[in-house]
Amino acid sequence: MAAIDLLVLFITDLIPWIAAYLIIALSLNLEYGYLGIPNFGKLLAVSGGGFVAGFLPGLIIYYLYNLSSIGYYYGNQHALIILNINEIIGSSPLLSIGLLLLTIIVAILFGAFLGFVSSYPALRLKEDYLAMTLLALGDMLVVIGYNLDFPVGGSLGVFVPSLFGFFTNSFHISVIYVNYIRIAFFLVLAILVYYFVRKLVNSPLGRVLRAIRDNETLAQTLGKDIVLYRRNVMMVAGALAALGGLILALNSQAVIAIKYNRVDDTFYPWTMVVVGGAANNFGVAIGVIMFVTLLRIIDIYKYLFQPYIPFDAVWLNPILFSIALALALFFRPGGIIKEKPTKTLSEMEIIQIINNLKNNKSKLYAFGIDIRFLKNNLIGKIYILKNKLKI
Amino acid sequence: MVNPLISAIIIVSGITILSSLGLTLTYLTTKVPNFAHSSFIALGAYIGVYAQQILGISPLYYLPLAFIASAIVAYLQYKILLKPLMDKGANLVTLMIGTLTVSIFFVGIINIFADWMATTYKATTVLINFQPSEYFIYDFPLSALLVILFVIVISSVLYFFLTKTKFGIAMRAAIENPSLASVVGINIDRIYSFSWFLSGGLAGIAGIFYGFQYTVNTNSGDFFLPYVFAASILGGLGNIFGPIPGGIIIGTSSIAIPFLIAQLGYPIVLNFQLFVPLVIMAITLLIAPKGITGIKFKKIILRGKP
Repeated sequence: MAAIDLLVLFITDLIPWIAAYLIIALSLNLEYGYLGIPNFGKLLAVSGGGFVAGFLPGLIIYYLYNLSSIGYYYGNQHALIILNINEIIGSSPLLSIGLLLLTIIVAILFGAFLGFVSSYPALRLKEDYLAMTLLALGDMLVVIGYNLDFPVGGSLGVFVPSLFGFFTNSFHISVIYVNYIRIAFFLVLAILVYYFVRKLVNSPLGRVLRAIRDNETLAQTLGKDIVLYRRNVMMVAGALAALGGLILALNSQAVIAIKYNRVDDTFYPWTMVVVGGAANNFGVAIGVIMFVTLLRIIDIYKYLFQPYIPFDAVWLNPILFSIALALALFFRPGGIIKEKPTKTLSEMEIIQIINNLKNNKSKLYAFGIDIRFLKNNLIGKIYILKNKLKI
Repeated sequence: MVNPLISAIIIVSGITILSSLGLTLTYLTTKVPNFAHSSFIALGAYIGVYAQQILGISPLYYLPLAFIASAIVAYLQYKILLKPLMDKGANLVTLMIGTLTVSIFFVGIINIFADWMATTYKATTVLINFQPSEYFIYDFPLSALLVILFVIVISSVLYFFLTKTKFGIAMRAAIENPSLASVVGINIDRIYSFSWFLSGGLAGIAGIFYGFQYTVNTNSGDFFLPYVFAASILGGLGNIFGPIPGGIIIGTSSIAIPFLIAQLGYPIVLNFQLFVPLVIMAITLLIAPKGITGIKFKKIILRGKP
């Protein structure tokens, strides 16, 4: 019985981490895997999302309810007013949900802005210069957050108001179940992002991205505006990475600027993407689950073997990560699950679909589906076959 | 007592030059920006920490050891990781991920080393400054003098080596055109290995001097990496002596500009030193992407004249 309890505890701890890292890794996969931009500055957008969670909900409550009258100011005295903020948020479900949605939206917009900022060098520089610039740019927000009191409390950090607290305060749901609701929320977000990215890269847009990655000049001659695609993809990826950083912050319920660092938020996602399989979302998901589980196992169970080693067991993580990365580079350069060629239909399948379309035209119209739209989506081949079959 | 501002400028310029010389050297030969350069600096710095905190002697005595240790690590990085990848025909991004691997590996190694020292010898091993073991010669800090000496000696030896000796000329040929050089019978692999060895060694020396100006922590190398990139890009990654003007400008401005603004009444600016190299790097990439040594001054002066 106890074993099952421990397992449940472990999995409930694990899922938010997997959700956050899955979103960050997918955003990196979009940039590096599908478009070939070596973004070594993921930290910028991730810390951006985390910082939004750190200051926005608390600050809104602070000014809305005029908490300055208590006598503490928002910033490095944050720890003294967080209880008041939590009490106010907990008493009103509507306010909590509104703030949660607002925080997510602002984080996504801010992430998109940061992606736009990083796309500026990405449009102009070669891969090596670009990698150096983005890596250096990545630390910017952390330096600001660490040295100023205002956004996230400097070196002391800030607490993230418990936006899920209203379940306990207003509906009297036990804390354990509120925790499950929170985890389910993160999981739903991650799954939504997974399907969004999957849809994105399996659409004609995804094929354009791969075309730009593989042969820039060719894509240009086909009339594709490379600048536009790069900028937009980096904005989307920035928004997603910020969402990942937001989940990290909401999960740990605190934001300390220095906790966002290059190793955790840039290098580890890179390891997950490269080992899992660049340009393959399922592979990336497997890489994320593998490495995050490893991270959490070492973090939670390190006390078991801590007495036998003269150092903090957490530092085994980077060593294991780097060994896995090196092995992947040598023996499986495509990752655990390699990139698959674009999914196209066989000739028989296409003929069948077209016949079905012919037979069920009225039915399709009845459901409000436009045949022309469907046809346009059946990759290339269909146009050739259309003439063959005279339809 | 010499103004600490001047010695700070000298030391920061010096370590920037030393570490970006190595970065430029490896970039010129293997054409890959080395993200693990921060690990070499951190390794050198932690050898200094070992000397000061455990052995109780000045880290300056451990300069040779720092050189050798970081140089061997860099050599092994090339031999074990990059060379096989290059032989397989890996592209640039794969090679960059390869250097990233070493960088991640050394995050673990450096932290384990620091923890091991702390638990075994019951000593403080994070947030260390080497100031206590500084010597003074006529009120002038020895570390600043040594940095000047090292930069002058190393750059002149490098100049002599590259222009007068057979191996150096072969090295320049290998940089210019590797395939042609190997046709003539130059051993490219040996030249690349040598450049990685030297690159790591210089970064190791820079790591020791790092502690005389900044506080050494396990993430010191990562903190300093933007300075190195900025100096290399400002100097021009295409020229091996580019880091010398680049490092002087980055070192001087990253100390002096925040100090001057702080004098105007905004002391908070002192915490944002990291922004100076970032801004300089951005401006360089906008105006002269090939860096100072890439600008053709003659052409600019003669512009408009027949």
